[in-house]
Amino acid sequence: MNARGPEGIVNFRNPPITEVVVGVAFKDAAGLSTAHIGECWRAKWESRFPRVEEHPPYSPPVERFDVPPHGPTFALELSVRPTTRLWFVTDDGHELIQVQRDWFACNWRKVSTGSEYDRWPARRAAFETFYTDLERFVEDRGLGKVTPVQCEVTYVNHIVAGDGWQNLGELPAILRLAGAIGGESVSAPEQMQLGASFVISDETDTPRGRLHVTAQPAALRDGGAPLYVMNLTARGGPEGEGLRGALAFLDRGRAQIVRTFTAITTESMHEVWGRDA
Amino acid sequence: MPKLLPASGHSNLQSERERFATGHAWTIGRDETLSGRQIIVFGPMLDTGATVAWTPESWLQGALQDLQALAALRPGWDSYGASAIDADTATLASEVLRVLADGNAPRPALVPTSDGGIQIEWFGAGLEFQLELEPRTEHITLFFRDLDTGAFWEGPLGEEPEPFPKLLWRVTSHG
Repeated sequence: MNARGPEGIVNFRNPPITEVVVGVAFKDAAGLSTAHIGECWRAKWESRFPRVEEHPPYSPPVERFDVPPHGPTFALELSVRPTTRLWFVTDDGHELIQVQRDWFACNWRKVSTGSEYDRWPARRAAFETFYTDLERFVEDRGLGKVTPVQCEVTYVNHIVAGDGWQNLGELPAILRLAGAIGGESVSAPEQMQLGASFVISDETDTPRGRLHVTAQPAALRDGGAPLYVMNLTARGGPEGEGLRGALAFLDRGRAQIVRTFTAITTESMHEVWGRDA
Repeated sequence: MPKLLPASGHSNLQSERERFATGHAWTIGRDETLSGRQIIVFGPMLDTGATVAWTPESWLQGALQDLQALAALRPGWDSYGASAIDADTATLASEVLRVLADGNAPRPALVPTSDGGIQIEWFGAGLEFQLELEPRTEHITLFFRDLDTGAFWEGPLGEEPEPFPKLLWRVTSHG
């Protein structure tokens, strides 16, 4: 979407990115309770993230390759402890840290139409900083250790009607994956939704995770303008130990997101988003 | 009673209900984003939780009816003084069945135990696989046996040597 770096991927000057979420599911921090998470916030994050909210836990899916796609894909876990996901939000609502006993994530969102996405290196650095804060807190307090088991990077795009398309039946004007209907025998769709998954493989063609793409029709609460919410989530296991392994997958996943976004969206929308030559 | 969590895989419990999902594409949900509050998403798939295989055609409805019949068993149902099925255990069994159905598991058999518990079982081509839900305990026991070789494994769910879906796939793919 807006990659500037050695990967040689396309850059957009005005991408439709609304939010970026970088997260990791972890294990081995058995002693980490909600109270401890609050203590960590107080010690390390409160001044920058003063607002606190409580949410139900997040259960990140695990990308499996050891059973066929039509085989069983569930997992069961019994818990006798209720889990709470705590949100720590900046005053301006730009940034968020989410923590629960087995999951951690950093969000950045575009608050106003004039604000600009601050690019992947900044998102990566924020994740690294706050993850390290949590990791050290858990170890210093003897609560176990933070061992990443699944990594996730998500780009949320709000593609609002106006330039390039007008109504929710025009998803093919945005996405090449959604083909237009020929002939006059049926009416045009009123709205559409789309989902697709892509395997993320490494340089040896070994599957490392999946990239999931969804496009959902929606409307802005403020003003009711129609839009498509296009989410791209790259999810997979860490490619090595600890933070370094998590970052290795996150870098791979983010690059795959940018390439896939460019490949599946239409050239006319690329012009709208200011594609660099 | 312990609570069943969809630790992974495709379940629609808790915040999974709000996940953006189309078919088997699973991106993060509105619940996990700040920008989710800015929008109203259209489409019944998101608001009903009907993003998974809870269709009338799936085996879940039939299995839940079987479970209901087991829950109605009276004390002494086996003529040897068996307990009635524990209500909490039946509730937990229903949650397990939902997660299994969501995750493309084949339909299991349900067997009552004399102490008021429930076994969820699969058999196929010399392989046996059981989840035993015992009353008043905080774990599910998993049992796996190869009837040809006699090899078996038994222990708390979560400590199995290989991922549960992979074990189950091995059983059912032989059938």
